[in-house]
Amino acid sequence: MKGSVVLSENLLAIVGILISFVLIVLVVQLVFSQQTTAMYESIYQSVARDISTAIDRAVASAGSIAIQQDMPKGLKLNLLIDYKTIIVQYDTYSVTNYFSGLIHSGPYKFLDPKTLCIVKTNNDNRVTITDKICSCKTNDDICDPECVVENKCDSKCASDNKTGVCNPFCANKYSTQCDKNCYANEKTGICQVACIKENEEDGICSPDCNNVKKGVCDLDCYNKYSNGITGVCDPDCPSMMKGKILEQNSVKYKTADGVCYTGCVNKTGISKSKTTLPKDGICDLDCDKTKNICDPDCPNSPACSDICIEEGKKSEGDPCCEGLVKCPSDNICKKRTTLTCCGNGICEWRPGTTNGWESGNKIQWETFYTCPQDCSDDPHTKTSCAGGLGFNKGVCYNDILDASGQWIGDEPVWVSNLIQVCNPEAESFLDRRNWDIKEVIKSISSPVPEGWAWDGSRYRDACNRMVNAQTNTGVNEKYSSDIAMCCSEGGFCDGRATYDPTIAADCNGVGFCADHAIGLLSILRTLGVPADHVYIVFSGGPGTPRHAWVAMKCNSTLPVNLQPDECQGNDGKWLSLDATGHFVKLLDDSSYNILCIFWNDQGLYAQNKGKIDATKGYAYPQDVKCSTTDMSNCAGRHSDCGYDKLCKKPFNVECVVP
Amino acid sequence: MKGQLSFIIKPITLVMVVALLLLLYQSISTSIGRQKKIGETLDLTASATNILLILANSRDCLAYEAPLSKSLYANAIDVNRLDEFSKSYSGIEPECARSFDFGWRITITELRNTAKGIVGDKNWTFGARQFSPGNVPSVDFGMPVAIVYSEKIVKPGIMSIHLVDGELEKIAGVFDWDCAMGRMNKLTKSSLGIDIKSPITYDSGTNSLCSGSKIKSCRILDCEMAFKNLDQGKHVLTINYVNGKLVIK
Repeated sequence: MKGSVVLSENLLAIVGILISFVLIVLVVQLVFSQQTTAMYESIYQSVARDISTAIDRAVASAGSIAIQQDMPKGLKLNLLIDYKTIIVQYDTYSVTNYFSGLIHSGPYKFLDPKTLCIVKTNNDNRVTITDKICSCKTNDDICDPECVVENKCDSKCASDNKTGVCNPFCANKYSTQCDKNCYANEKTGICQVACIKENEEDGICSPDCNNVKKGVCDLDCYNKYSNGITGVCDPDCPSMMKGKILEQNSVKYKTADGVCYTGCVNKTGISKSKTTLPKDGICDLDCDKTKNICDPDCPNSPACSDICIEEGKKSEGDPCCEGLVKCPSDNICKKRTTLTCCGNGICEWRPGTTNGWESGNKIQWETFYTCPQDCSDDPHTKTSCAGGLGFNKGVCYNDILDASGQWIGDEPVWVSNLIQVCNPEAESFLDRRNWDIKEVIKSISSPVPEGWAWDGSRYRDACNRMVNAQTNTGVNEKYSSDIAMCCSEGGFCDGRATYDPTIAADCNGVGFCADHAIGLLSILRTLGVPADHVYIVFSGGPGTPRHAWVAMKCNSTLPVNLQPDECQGNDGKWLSLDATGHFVKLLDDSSYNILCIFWNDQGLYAQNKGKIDATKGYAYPQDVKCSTTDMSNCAGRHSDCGYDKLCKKPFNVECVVP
Repeated sequence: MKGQLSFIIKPITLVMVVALLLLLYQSISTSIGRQKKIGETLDLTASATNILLILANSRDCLAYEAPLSKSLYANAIDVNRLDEFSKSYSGIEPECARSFDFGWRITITELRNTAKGIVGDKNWTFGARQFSPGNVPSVDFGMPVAIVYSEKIVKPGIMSIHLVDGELEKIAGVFDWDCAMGRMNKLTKSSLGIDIKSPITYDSGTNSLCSGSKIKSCRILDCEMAFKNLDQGKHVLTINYVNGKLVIK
């Protein structure tokens, strides 16, 4: 009995040791096998990354540089290098890595390279990659770009037009031999005069020959930069064009061929609105005919007279003189002051429209184009403006957080006193847009400052920070930064918006999507869009984006100023007007795949037009369709809207999905 | 008594050995994970440094070119290019230093020496406005630059980068790369296997790819797309370039 206990003890000890041994072996094997697999791939990733870094280092060099990049010994791999990409192929696998710089060469393919020589040549801004030791050998039959780094001429580069390497130490503008490697539509650092043939087009106008006198006019430049187009200046055009220059009364003329060469311009010319050519001794008869191109070599050229319209005179074609502004209603040049063009009794509209400001006057338009005194009696205005119909609420979401502060859901909250139909700011907004829905759409579709900005900070504690339609419209009209999504609070921007302290005050009030939808609904209702044709749409819920925008039904029987272009051919369909996203398109063509409720200044759609009985109604019209790209998603997610909190609890109506 | 004790101690020893081995395994895994993270941060920093240097020293980007010699000076940037970049690339990275792996935004601040010390005078900014939501790897740092107004007027400045390595940047990067290759007639079809952590949606109105459910972050794309929104999880996408548009299935 005693012996059996000893045997059991020994057996246990042996089993224990065996199990421990097996476990140790298993753990070690697991660690090593994981490491080996990961290590194997990571070695090739490292190779790709090292080459990317070397290429980027070469691109980032201000001068010429040659970088030798050795491959790790014992690795067998193939390399493909193309536009910003390196693909390392090994066994049957491959890894891809991107680099940031532009190399202006390639693609390259190297089979089992042992080393790479990466050369950046500063003259042509190219990076050349070869699978050899970096060295400049001038006495062999290979063109080495490394010679450029060593300031040496490798004659093979100049003699072989296919190398793609422009060596500036071989070629110069006085070379009699054309080195096509240095002759391109982009800079190579060398103007290859020998490559330019008289009266011959080859598709290349070399920017290296800009402003270089060479005794021959490059026809490619002559034809490319004509009739107002500036760019590469060939000072030999048209003066060196044989057979085209005639002399009459001591004036040399280029005979008319339809090309007024404007590659070269005198930047200190007579006026900003006109192009002035340099004085080259040749009067170009093609330029002489134009009103806006002044050739100082042409006697009595009408375009060369420094004409500007004086104060009080009508400007038609020629600009007003310095310090004056042309008022759009009467085209009379007046002294530039605040509200210069106001008070003439003519209601002027947004830039680009009939009787509106000329384009380019946006700043003036933003600051003093609005002339309420002129627009107040305009017959277009306020014909349909009849005020709101009592319901002024907007809805927003508050976060529901768990004990640790993590977001777990949305809580819809209705806020009062937000919708304001026929408020003075909506009327001013429409005054500036000729009470035309097409002009309203242009404004909400355009980027800022004409469109609507988006205050990212308002997503924090949104329900306590909603702004009413009047404030929101007014602030957006005055907003003049090009930042489309601004943030008025430095520490609380939500990632989409930019905080810029210089415009933070301007951002304060521009609101977020729910504010924009309320502002836009108020504007459209002020304009006269019937109540059953325009609603605010609200979407959201767990896993779906929160958003608010405006939906409007196309109806060809409405007055013409209520007919958006987007409705043409789409009668009866619904449009999405998104002032936050800056677009207008068919609702079923937009990416909105969830619709919760529709409402406007008459209340919830479920309570009026969509009413089924005393206790329930449709959440939105039955003819409204979600995004056609994802209908299944749309139908399945309506339950996310939280209809009990959106409809039932606050308004005692059950919202039903049509 | 001794035998009874052994019966108790030996299983306990075995359990302890197992526990120790598990601890050892966990410790090795944690250490490897930490090392990997440090490596990734270093790689991110190296990429950010390269982007800053490319921006400052490449003729394609902001580098100032001396008018007569046509040469470049290290880290000297042209104020005119700066104005142009902050206008043209207010919402997207410029092609000259775009990385298809990351998203970034640059801020350049001109410095001025005052009685109160060195203060920021003027600001320029360009690059992506929004980045992948949540806690994603990112780096922020800057380097000194010279802002060249003319051969005679040169002012000191700081060029800072905020670089993010997130899911949105990577997916948008692949689409933009395919778009670029398609435009160059180099590639018409590719595929992408991804494991998505936040839903990815496409806003055709703004041609933006967005990530996130409650609060979305969006990036403007180079090509228009026909794209079905993606939920969280693993996906294999086929990307076709057809008539200037990416068709993704």
